[in-house]
Amino acid sequence: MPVQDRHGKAINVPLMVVTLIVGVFITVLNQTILTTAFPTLMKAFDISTGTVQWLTTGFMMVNGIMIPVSAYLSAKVSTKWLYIGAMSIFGIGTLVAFIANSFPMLLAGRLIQALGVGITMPLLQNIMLNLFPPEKRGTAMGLTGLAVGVAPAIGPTLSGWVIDNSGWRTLFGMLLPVVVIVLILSLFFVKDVLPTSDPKLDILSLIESSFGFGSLLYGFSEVSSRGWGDAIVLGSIAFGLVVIVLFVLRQLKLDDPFIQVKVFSSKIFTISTILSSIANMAMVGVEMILPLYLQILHGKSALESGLTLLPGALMMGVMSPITGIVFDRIGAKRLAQLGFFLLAAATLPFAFITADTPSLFITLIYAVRMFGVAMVMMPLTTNGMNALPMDLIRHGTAVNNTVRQIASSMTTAILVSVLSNVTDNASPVKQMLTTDPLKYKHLYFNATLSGYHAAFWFAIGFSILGWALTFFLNKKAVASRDVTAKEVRA
Amino acid sequence: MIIATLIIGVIGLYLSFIMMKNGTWRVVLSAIFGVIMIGSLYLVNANDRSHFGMEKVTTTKTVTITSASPSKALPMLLHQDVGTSGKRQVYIYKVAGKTTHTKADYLVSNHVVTGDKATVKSVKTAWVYKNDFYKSFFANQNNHKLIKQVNTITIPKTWTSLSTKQAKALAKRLKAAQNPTATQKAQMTAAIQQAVVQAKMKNPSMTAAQQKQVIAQAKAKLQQAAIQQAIKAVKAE
Repeated sequence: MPVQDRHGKAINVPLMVVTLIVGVFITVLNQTILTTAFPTLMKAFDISTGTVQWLTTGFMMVNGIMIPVSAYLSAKVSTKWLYIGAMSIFGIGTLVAFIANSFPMLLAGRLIQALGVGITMPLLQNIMLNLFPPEKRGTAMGLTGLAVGVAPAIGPTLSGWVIDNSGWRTLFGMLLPVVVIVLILSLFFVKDVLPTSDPKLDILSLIESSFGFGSLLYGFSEVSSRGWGDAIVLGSIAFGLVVIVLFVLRQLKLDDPFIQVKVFSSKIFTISTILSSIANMAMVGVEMILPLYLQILHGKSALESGLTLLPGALMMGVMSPITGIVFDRIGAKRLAQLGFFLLAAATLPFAFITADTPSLFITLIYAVRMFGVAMVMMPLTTNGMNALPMDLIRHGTAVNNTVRQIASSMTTAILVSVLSNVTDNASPVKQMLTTDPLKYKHLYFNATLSGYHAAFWFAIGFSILGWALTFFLNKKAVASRDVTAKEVRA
Repeated sequence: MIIATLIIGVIGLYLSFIMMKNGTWRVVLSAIFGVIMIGSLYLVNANDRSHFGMEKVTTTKTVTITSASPSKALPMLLHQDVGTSGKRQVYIYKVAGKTTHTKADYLVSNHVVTGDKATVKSVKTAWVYKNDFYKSFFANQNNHKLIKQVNTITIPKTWTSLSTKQAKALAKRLKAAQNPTATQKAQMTAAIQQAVVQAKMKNPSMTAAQQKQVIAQAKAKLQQAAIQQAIKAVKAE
């Protein structure tokens, strides 16, 4: 029987999947595409580092705030028009950024982009989980791993190359034709798959969720420039946590909650979410620190450092669907155990990295790490989703993505402060820069190295923690259709 | 090659642990490939940190140098300070007609000594792979990594050692000396006269040619003294 959409019409699954993945790939690409562009943008608009970082911080905050909203929208708006709508919003944002002649306009473009991305990312997951039966979801989610996992990894390399050869506007301009193509294809191939139920929009929940998560994400992102002790940092995080607690309490009281937080009563879902977040943390931490090492100690340009890490990103792209297929066959436990083992083992050499470690070995060991990440992230996400009944999938996706987003934001904050603290404590006196610059460089490199070592040890710690937790994973795979709503809401 | 063993270890571990059915063989193979993988990672680290597979090798190279200073009459060894501590310099000279200088690196140290010929002797100590096996095993990474380099620059007594700043000041002074003041002119003429008088006293029957010779010698001596005085003044600045 061919796969049918909500209206009984047949769906061309491969073409729909391709349209969705290409669209989501270019939206998720924008999470990291500006990182190497900052110096250029600072010159173009004559702004400081703190100001230009809002292009990423703001993007990430809006992205994070939209994820809980996606659960509501997935049920309220028919799939096809939701996807087309989100991609159009993204397209408008991209256009605004492309023609921006002032920083506020560029920032506005970015934030509009983020509105679209915040919807498409979880939407893709929801669609895949609905489109494919539980026995095939691993493969399907592995394909989404291509978009969600590889795109952020390719972003820095691509942006480095584009900026060197063409200029920052091309970063946005090159996406516009693709958006148009995706929109046209969507009209034909994206069908309504998700069940619509006309849920009531609880405005207070929306406000609490937006302010709670937004504030928390903001606090974490300011740590790098202000430090943990800063009033704004602590205030935002505390405020965010308080509002989130209020939000959760409210959800427990509502009959038709904005986000069904009772998904956590499924032990399998909870542990899978925790584990996929830990894997994300281990990945993001090193992904952030290695380029710094490569650019400062090896003197590589942003593009060159991106190229060094590119094989690892491609490795994840290749292995994500493969591990998905394997997951469908044997479940998550063995994949997660080996995955975290590889993560820990392959991060260990980085904790002992020297100033002259050959790039060849760095590329290779980083690829082994990413191999491990591919074994954990998507299979565990799928494992968690499979433990939920069909009507809770959209809530599970929202929760899973939000937890991952916050975890990765927190990791970046922790590692950046570990890095600067250890480096600053070991740094040579600034005077030495004039009296003996050669010795200064030698000592400074040693200081930053000890900072990187400390950060890598953190990543190793996460990986080992994750590895230990895999022993609590379910051995047998669960299928959503076997899980009744009652079991979860018990 | 270590790259191959690492890849084999990882893929082998994956295939045995993930793809095989439960049983003794799975445990055994996983353990074997696991050891290969961990071992490879360990060796990469050992090569990186403790230079496993490499040994210290010292090579000595001596080259003849010529002065990089513009005037042929005044051979100089020029140097430029790195940082204000005065402990590190870069030395500038010519090798085979091309101007070159010592490397500005934390690992490089320079000494200047006087001798017969103008030479630079570089003694390099570096990590080199013990044999071809280790070299190809570690993909020839970081071969000849410098540990320490000592340059001994020998200059004959006729050379002067000046910083580039001092050399510039010297050039200015010598240019000024080409246009002597009236007093300086008078002093020079007086000195030449005195030399001629002294020579005549020693040899009353001096010919005109001999007298010219004395005058030329006296002039040369005066020039040398002036240059030496300028050098002293520039060094004192």
